[in-house]
Amino acid sequence: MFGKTKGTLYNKTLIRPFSYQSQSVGHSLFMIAVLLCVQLFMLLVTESYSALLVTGCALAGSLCADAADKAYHKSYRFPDMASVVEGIIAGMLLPSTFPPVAVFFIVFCTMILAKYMFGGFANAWGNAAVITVAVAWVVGMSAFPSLMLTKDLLQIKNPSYSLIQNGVFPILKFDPPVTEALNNTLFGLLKVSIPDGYISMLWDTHSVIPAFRFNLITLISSIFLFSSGMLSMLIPVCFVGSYGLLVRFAGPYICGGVPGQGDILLAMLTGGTLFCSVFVVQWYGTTPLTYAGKIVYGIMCGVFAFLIAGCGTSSVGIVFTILCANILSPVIQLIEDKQDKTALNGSLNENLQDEGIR
Amino acid sequence: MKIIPVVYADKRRLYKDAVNAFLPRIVTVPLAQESGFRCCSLVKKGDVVREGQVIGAPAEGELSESPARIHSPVPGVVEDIVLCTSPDGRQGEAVRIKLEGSFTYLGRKKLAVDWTILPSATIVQQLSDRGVVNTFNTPEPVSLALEIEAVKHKKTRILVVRMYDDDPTRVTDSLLSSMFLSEIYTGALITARAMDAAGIVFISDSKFPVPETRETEAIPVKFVKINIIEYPAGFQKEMRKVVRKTLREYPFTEIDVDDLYTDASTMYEVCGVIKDGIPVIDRYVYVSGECTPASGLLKVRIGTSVRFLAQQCGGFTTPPAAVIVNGLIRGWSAGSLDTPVTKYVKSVAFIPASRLPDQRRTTCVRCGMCRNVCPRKLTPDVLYRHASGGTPASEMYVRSALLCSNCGLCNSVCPSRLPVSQSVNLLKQQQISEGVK
Repeated sequence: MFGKTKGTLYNKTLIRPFSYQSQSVGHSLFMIAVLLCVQLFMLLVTESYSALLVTGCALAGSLCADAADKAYHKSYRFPDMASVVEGIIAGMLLPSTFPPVAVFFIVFCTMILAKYMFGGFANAWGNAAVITVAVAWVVGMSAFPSLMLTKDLLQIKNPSYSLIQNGVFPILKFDPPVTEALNNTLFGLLKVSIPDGYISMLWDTHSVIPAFRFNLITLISSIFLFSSGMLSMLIPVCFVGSYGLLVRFAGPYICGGVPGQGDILLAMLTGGTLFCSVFVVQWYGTTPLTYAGKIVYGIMCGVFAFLIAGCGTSSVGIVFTILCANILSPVIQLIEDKQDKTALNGSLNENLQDEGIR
Repeated sequence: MKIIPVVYADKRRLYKDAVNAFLPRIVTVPLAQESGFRCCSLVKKGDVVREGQVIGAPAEGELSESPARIHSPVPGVVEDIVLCTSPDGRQGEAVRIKLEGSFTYLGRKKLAVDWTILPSATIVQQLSDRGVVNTFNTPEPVSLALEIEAVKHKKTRILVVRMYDDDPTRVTDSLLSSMFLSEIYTGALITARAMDAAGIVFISDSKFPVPETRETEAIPVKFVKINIIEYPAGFQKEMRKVVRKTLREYPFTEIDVDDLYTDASTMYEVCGVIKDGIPVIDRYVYVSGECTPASGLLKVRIGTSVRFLAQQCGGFTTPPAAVIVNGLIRGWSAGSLDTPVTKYVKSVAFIPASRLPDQRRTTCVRCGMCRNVCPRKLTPDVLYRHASGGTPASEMYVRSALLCSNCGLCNSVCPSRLPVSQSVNLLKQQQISEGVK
């Protein structure tokens, strides 16, 4: 303990500042891992053992890749929290029907390759977890569920309601009383009402892909991460906003429906939009640096999501959306660098004289 | 620019007024109290010293004529010349004095010198002889007399007095300004006379009650307001900007980097040194933190250990894990509880382990927060990679390091906890030593 003996020094070096305006990467990753574990716990509660097994295999693959990388570099440390988070995310984006052994090898090989080809944590231009899922889709396309939305469905006002009626999204036992209570209270005040089934969709979509399931938990996680400053809201808001607008207006227009009647809820609650907007879209090192760049990146994510994933229920659309955005990011960063150089040149000319530097 | 609220200690635990600290039994006075300058000891083991006696002065043949002398803060016997670590981490010789004998100034009537009849050269000499250090830039304290001599080449000289702290987590100057405005005002008038200034500008918080300007002063005196929570509002460039924006009349339009910038603490000391004739043997230090039951503004003898300050605040209720000197953003972590208070110490905060920041480093995650927050529009991440042996930056980027004001905002927002500000400053120092400036 500091101060026990005369002249006791610190056991570690402290450098300024001693008060930070942001959360550390280590702490943020730890909290993200904890919040992802809540979703894993829900898989356990809902007896989704195959999904848990797939996620476990992906986590093991990621940790083994990390260990192999560390052994190669002769750095024997406890695995990085980044590898844990990447492993869990990759596992949760894979369908529970995927063979677990294949998951382990795909994750292990892709993560190792990603580390050597693109650089380690935060040095890679692409999200390793997303690249892994893309590789898994190429290898085992049949394991991924097919698109449930048809052109006919998109022409009607509430395609999600039709899907609930058809039993694609099962209605849970507690749904009718909760819906009724909400309609009588909160929605009643606003003079609107929602049909049975939406609460179930928010709570658990029962998708074979675990990341697409627990939307409410993802929403609560996002509130915690954004409010505590561990993650920035800028990119997710631009992403979800632009995607939502396109689904609402452009989707029905393209499919021959009435513009302005697109189903935003279906697009957000299915296909992993919420999950990826919180945990994946702004993975460290993959985003532009300036506010303007981040806004463009977020909006482009929304555009890609609309073009690739459509209006919802796509099993792998969101993964390729993130990949496309990751590819676009270095281009945005190049433009940022050019603008930075111009601004810096102007600033140098203006300020060096004011600072008395010749 | 970043909004950082000014943090006062819990008001319930704060002393209502500035109080005199207890007299320490032993003081350790470092012989290096200015940036880049070290005095020589004029005393040896066993010597008897008076309160305020000069114990440290520049060695014979030193180029600089006006560094601040160092005085014995208490009467007593020199126990030894010891090796000591200063609050800024520098190691050097220090004079250890055991309190003994009668006081020269404590409890005696003050002189009340009529400074208005003193010639400017005499004032400058007295500022040097009595050891006044300008603490405007706390990481680089410089003798005030030296700075006054340095500005004399300028035709129209302005004295700029900052009435608040550059680090918002330190409130010493703000408290001094509200408690001793008259002394600070007088100190500024004395300094203006010493430097033959064309005008004085006091810059204060927008909530600070501005006193009426005395029209009888020989030179124009102006009060300018700034929002101090917009960090870095206490830096030269930001202060110049607000003066240029607010005061559009001569001589304030002539303000530039070569004028004299100082703070409330220094002006308070100038008043004591010239008007009362007492050398710098003590200073006001804001003691805070969650480890002591009380906190407040204490008048502390130079050389008092920070451990002793904690005792006056009721002792440790929680063991401190760190002692932060001069603010949580711009300060240093003192190496031990025996670190002495020096002329540039403005605040001491005792931080428990639960409040220590997470400083585990990771690789740069390229979040861009350092770029977005930099008030000089620099690219600290690029400069950090260059300085740390990563991707080399072009000459233009490297040159831009000269604009860094060392505010440390890039550090405070960095989620990877990289020493960005330190790296940029290193590049700046390299260029300055290569003769760019």
